Order: sequence, then C-alpha cells, then structure tokens
Amino acid sequence: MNNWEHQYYKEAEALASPPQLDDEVFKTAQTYKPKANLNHLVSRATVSCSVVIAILLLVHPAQYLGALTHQVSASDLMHEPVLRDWKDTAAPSIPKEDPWLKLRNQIHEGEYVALCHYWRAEQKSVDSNPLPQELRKSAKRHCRILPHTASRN
Amino acid sequence: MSRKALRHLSDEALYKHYKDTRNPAVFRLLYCRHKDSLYRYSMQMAPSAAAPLLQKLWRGLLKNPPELHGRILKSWLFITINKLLKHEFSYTVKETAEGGSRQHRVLSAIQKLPPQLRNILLLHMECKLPLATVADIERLSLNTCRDMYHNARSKLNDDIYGSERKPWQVEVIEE
Repeated sequence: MNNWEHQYYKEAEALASPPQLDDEVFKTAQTYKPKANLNHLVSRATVSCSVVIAILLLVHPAQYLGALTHQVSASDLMHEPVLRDWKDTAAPSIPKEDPWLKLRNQIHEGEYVALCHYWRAEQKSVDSNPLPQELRKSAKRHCRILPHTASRN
Repeated sequence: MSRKALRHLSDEALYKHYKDTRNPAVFRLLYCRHKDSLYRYSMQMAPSAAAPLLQKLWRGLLKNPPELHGRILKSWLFITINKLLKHEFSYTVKETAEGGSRQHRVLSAIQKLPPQLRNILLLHMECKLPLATVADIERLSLNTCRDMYHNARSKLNDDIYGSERKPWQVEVIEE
C-alpha cells in the first residue's frame, strides 16, 4: 500500500454517514411492519383446533348415546327382565293329561269294548273328538263293523 | 434469532432474513455495515446529491426488496448507487473539481481525476469491488478497466508527489 493510500483512508474516515441521513432511513424502515410468522401462527391454530375437537368429542352427548348404563328403578324391579335367569324363571313344563289314557290302559289289558263303543260313536257324530291314529288302527283291527256304521268307513 | 447470531450472518443471509421478517433491527444491522462506504463513495462522486441519492437507494430497497439471484448485496448496492449517480455527473464534475484543501490532499487529488477514472478507482479501492465488477459497471473490457485503474493511480501519485525526476542530461557530451 502506498503512502497516499494510507493517507486516503485516514482522510476518508472523516466522511461518515451523517446522523440525519441515518435517522431518515431508520424512520422509513420503521414504516414497514415486521411480517407475522405464519408458520408459527399455523402451528398454533392447528394445536388449538385439535384441542377443541378433542374436547368436543369427549364432551359431546352423542358420544354416550346408547352407551348409558341401565339405571334400576322401582318400576323396573317390578318387571323382571325377560332374559335374566331365564332357566330359573322359565315356566315349568306341566305334562298335559292324556285324554285317551283310560282307553289305552283298557286296550293294554285287552278290553276293547270301550274303544269300539267310542269308535262307533265317533263314526256317527261329526263333532266328537277323533281317536288318535294308533287307537283307530287297533279299533279297525278288533271291532266288528256294524251294518249301520259301514257306510262311513 | 438472537442479535449475536445475526451479527455472524453474511450480508446476503442477513438481507434474506430481513426480507422474510421485515424486522427493523435486522435492517439497522445491514445498513450499518454499508452506510459509511456508500456515503464516502457518493460524496466523492457527487457531494451535493449524495444524501438524497442514498435516501432514494435505501427507500427503494425497503419498499421493494430486490431479488439478488445469487449476487453479492454489496455489488448490488454499488451498482444501483452508480446508476443513480450517473444522472448527477454533468454538474458535479465542475463542483468537485474546485474543492479541496491542504488537510485533505489525497481527497482533493481524487476530485481532480476525470469522473470515469475516479469512479473506477473508488469502486475498487474504497468499495472493494473486484475489477471485473467495476469493468461491468463501466461497460469496459477487464484489460481496459485495469489499465484505467493503474492510470488513475499513477495520476494520483503524480498529483500528490509530483512527477518522477528525469535526468536533465539525456545524452553524454563528449569533450
């Protein structure tokens, strides 16, 4: 570096930007407002929305529709549920009385009089209770066919 | 980003950060890095127009921050101020040629240089721009620009220290 170059830098130091100019430029810079950090805002909005949605999901009554536990009331106690303890509460099967039991017993003992009598009466009337199949068969086998009843068979 | 971290950023990174955030503190840091060299350059090229032109330059940057496209910010600043100054040359040459004092011998010698030589000298010496960039600004070939730069330096040297001594006797006189 030459002597005059050193001298130049010394002399040039006096030429500094005046404070008035700096102030003017800074004032202009102040008029441009800083940009909002959108990424920051977006992340904040996302978090807020997620929190609101979570709260809504937890609080919303639809969440619990059909999921309420059954509250036992006094009236419910009166009516027992249909399926609860069904085995215990099921109606006991009562064997029906066989209307032909007496007749069957007689056939079993070899007496066919009552059966034949019933069979002939049945053939005469329409409304009478019909004999069961096996009794009718045994009646046909053992009972004599009378002339005034033959037309119905 | 902290103030300390900002100080370590390059001009371009700082400028990009300012462009993204528009933070006045970041701009202040950027402005302080270049304000004095820009002012010195402008004052030596066009003293009366320096302040308004610099204001115009910074206002333009603030209003519509330019895209650097990989360029150096300092180059952009000096190229732009050079364009603005070229409109002022016609009347400032007369004005500056008269100025100068004994205290500022070098500064006044620089003022005596023709505008183009002065511009080349200042852009390279004061603004620290590479000669290739200076050649681009002046629309010259690099060789011509280099020649002109050396020419400006030797003229300055002559003006400050006077021309080199030449022997008064060029031929040997035979007795």
